[in-house]
Amino acid sequence: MPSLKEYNVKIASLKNTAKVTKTMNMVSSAKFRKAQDAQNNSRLYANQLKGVIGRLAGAIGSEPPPLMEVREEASKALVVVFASDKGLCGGFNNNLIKYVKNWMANDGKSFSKIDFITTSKRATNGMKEVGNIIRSIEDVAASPGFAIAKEIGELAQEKFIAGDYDEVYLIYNVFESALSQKPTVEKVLPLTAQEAAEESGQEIDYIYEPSRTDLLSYLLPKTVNFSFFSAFLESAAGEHAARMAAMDSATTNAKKLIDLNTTLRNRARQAQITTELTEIVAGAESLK
Amino acid sequence: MSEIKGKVLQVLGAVVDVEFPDGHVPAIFNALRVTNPGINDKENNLVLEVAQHLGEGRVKTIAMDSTEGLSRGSVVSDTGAGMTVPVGEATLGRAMNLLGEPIDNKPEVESAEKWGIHRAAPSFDKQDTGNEVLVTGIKVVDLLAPYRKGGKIGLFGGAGVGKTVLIQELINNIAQEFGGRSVFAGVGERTREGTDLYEEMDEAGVLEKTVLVYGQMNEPPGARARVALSALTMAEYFRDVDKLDVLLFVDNIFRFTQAGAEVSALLGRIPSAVGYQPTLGVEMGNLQERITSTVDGSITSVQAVYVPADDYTDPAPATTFAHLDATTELSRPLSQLGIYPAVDPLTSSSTILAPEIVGQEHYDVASQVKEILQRYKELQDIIAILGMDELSEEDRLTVERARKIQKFLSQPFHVAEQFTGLSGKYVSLEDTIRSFKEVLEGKHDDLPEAAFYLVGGIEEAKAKAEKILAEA
Repeated sequence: MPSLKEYNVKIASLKNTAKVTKTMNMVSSAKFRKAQDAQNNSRLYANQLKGVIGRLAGAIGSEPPPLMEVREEASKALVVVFASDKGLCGGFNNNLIKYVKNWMANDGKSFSKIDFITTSKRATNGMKEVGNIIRSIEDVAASPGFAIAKEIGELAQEKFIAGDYDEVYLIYNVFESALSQKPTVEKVLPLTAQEAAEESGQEIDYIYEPSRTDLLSYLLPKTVNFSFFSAFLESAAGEHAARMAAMDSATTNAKKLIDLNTTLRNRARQAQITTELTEIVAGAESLK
Repeated sequence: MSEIKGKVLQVLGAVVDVEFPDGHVPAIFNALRVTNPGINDKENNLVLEVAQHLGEGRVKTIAMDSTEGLSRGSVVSDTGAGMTVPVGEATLGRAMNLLGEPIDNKPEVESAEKWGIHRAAPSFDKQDTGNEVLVTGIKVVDLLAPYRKGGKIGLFGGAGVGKTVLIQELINNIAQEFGGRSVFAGVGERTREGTDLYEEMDEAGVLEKTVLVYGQMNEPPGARARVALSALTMAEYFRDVDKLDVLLFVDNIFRFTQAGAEVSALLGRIPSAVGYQPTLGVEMGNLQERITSTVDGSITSVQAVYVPADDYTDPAPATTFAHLDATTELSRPLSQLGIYPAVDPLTSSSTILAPEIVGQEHYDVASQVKEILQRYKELQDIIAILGMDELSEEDRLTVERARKIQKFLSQPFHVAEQFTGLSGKYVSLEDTIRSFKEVLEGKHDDLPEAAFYLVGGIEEAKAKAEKILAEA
């Protein structure tokens, strides 16, 4: 049976923990709102952009632009793994890393070589024992800017065109709702015409100026960069939501433990008082 | 024999004041005899032991049986010596009370010799400290807190966590294979358990190598405070005279202390911490120092120690701790998880768990098991607040293995077959070490946790896993 003092120390430390988790919950919920707005807007924008690409892609003849070139027997893949820099967000990172490993064991089996770009500390830690990381970025995941998305987007395109990699994938948590983030894999390169065309819906015959091919070769790199940015935003919104939920349940758990330990402390206190009383009374009694 | 007669002056529960004429004062620990018609109609049926001198020919004595019916002025005779018990061959196969009187419905114990129950501890130069491991066949004990042959072992535990079952399993596993003599002292525990044990030993055919001495919870405090000494005296005879190895089981040594506390206040002593007798330390010391192995023979003692309110800082268990070579602590949280024997792997300890005695491999496996369980305990706080998700892969593996090890430390007992419905398992030391080593190395990460629960060696865990998978 621990002493009163041990209980007091434990309760004090639990109270501190609860305070920290409560604060983190509030901070995350503020950040989450901002990130969710950005993610919402980016989805709208991405849909529109894909529509435009789809319409333009109809024009591709037998010679597709380099970013849409589908290579037979793709053997080298580049995987960009998004996650968070900080922990304390439940299974957000672990689930993603598990998903990546799972993907490699199944869909990724056909590749003879898989390299990684990681965009956060947790992703770097998770991937470093799995494969070769060609570039790792830190401290941007919580509030990503377009500049960094563009930087790795261009790096990926460059490597793709140079033939270092035959396919490029993004693996990140899709923000489904505040309670659910789902690890997802998305193939960004090569941008296949069919894929783009499917999303375009009805075919409308627009008149283009400059020409469709020029426009397409101007827009394609931007689309790829934007896919990276959008993955960043999904991941960031998911991270904040996951942290909010994790910290909320942590606060509840800590409070439960505080209650339990307070009861135990009070019991210990009563036991101590009873013992002391008995000793005093018995002592006095036997001195009579 | 011209015995000096005194008379009863006062009866105060278990304590009787006696006055002797002409300034005669019987020595401390002398046995006095008096007739108490309240017990039966025999002469001199009540023994009183002198505990304190009050001066002017008056002494305070502790009664070894009921004092109801005893009246003031009853004639008390001083036997001039302390209480004695029969020792030697004649005691084997018998169940007796603290005075060596039969309680098994058989004739008197006829022994050539009778020894006084208060004796000195063996002198320093005669004591023996061998370092041989006593294998019990119980995984958690053999691995984490191995017993020493000729050592003193304590089984600590609160109410209802399985002390008696564990001590009975030890009797089953060790005493029945053991060539020497066994002495069992039932101190202040259930009479039914005493009867059960007697009959089990009879059935197993080991009764003729065993002495049973009982002073159970229905007896007055005087009897409970002395029965351990009686049993010990018989064990000492086998050790010193027959020069044999002896097993001494005591269930429960706490009752000895408790009985002392019950009479202490009546003797006019001021209660000490938590209401115990101020003489707690010396009483325990006098008993424990006698339980020791000498160059002639060994006494390996297994003592159950009740821990009041699960509080290990309570003076009674705390005083006992210091005397022991190996302690096996039973923990309530584990017994609530259904893990039997509920031995706490982190607090149980043994002086012989050292590489030079048990061997490097055993020592390494034991430390690693303790380490992983310790880590699991530390992580439990994190898990309680933040959940499993927050743990790193490595920590999660630690937790999984620790949970398996925790389950694997359970074991079905022979003596608990009617409770578990599983046949008891005896696991050899080699199997124990190898099994835990394999679990630590991660060779069995694929087996489900439930497969490790209540099995013997690792092969049985594998078989159980297959059965679970087949059912699923």
